[in-house]
Amino acid sequence: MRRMNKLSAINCKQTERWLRRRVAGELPASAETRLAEHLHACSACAASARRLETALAALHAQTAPEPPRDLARRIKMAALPVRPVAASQRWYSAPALAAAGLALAVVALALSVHLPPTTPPASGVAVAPANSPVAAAPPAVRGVSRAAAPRLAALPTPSATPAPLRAVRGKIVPAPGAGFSVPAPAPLVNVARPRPAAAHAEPSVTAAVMTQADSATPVRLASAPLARPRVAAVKADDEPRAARRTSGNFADEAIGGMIAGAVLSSYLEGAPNGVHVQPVSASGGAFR
Amino acid sequence: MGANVLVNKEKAAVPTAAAVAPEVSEEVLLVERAREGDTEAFGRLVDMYHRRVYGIVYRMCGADDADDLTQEIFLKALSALRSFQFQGNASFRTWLYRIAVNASINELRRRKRRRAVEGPSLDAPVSTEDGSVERDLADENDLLPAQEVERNETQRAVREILAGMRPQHRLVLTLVDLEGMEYREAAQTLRCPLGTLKSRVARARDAFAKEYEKYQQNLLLQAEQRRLRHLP
Repeated sequence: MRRMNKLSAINCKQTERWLRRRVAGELPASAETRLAEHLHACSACAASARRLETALAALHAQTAPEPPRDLARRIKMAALPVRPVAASQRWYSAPALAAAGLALAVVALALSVHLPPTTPPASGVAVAPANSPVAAAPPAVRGVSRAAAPRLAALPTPSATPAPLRAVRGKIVPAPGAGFSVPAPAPLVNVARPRPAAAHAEPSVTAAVMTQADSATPVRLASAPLARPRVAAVKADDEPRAARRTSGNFADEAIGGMIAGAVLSSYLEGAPNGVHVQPVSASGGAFR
Repeated sequence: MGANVLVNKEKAAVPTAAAVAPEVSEEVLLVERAREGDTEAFGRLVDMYHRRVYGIVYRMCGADDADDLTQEIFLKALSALRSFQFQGNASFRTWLYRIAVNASINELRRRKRRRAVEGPSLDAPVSTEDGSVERDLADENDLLPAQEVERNETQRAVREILAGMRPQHRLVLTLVDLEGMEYREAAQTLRCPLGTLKSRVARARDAFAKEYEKYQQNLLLQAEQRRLRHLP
């Protein structure tokens, strides 16, 4: 009898396994008695059994979380099939948008052809005399004498007074009565908005008087700020290369550039021969 | 010949709507109708299972966004319903729970990644040497019905302990002990062998019991400190 008791006794490790099986409801009834005997004799295993049962009782006492009352309704509503709007019911379509864009471009082109030419000096490039209030600031001339330095000012508005000194056929010639001239054989007048050195620097007009000997002599002419002087007057056969743009919407720029170019070229149609006026982008590059 | 027998056995194992048990046949018919675009049948399936799906998501991810995640799970199930097939004992229910489990695990991973980028959230559980403890914040969530019933101290403690456990342990405890799934169904949901699931559950229960004992000891300690503080 005593031997039988020894055989039926279980050790602590087996008790641990049996406890797990009992919790899972998988311990046979025959093993229950032997387990109870061991738990009665071993305080450590009894404590372990109590700990497990207490924790599981707390776990099973957890109430189920109550979902929001309208959750099922919301799911059903979201699951309803969404019928796409038929193409015939839409007020817009891709072909219509494309046609509208094309029509705009055609209108801009037609305007550029049929608009009457405007007065050339008022088109954005003018040369002011020395006593003009526009060119009151003393020019900082490098390589060119101050007396011989032309005073140029870009006039963004057509209402500007025509200047007596102007660029004609690639040369800057004085108007009758003006006191100086530029002895350059093939000068190039470049009126462009330079990039400001500092973030808050005031933009000003810089003209580069280019000769064969000194191909690029920047001359700071007038420090008067320009409202919209985004006009570059360059020689037609020496057009500066536009900076390659690596960002931006190509379509926007292409269409915008086309329309703006057409309108602006018609607006500035009366520009002097040999001087080609073209719009420049905010970054300084020319529109293609 | 052997291969043919195997194929026949596999075919025989796939139950049809008529061959399955009566309690499952309704589910099968609803699934068939929902698959054909019957929104009413799908709505019935939502009525049948949204509570349990919500429970799984709530236990795994917490109350925040649990309803949105539940809705997302059902919509995912609806879009994948065509690919669902009754195979063996796998039911629509098990398949749906598996989607819920995967969505919950993905949500936990997403939160972990977000925490790694943005730093810990102000209402995230506080990690301590004894595990993680949820912050006791009085916010508008306290007014939710789902949390009002959890104001009991023991329930709150259990929730905090579960939140601090490993997701693997939390998942099996959620399915088996909290949602009351059978071992076999939980194993099908997690796509793991039955024996593996049982050992996972046993380890998870041991881990939970250890943490719960710490919590109880801490309670006793606090009560003792309060008693000593009020002594003259």
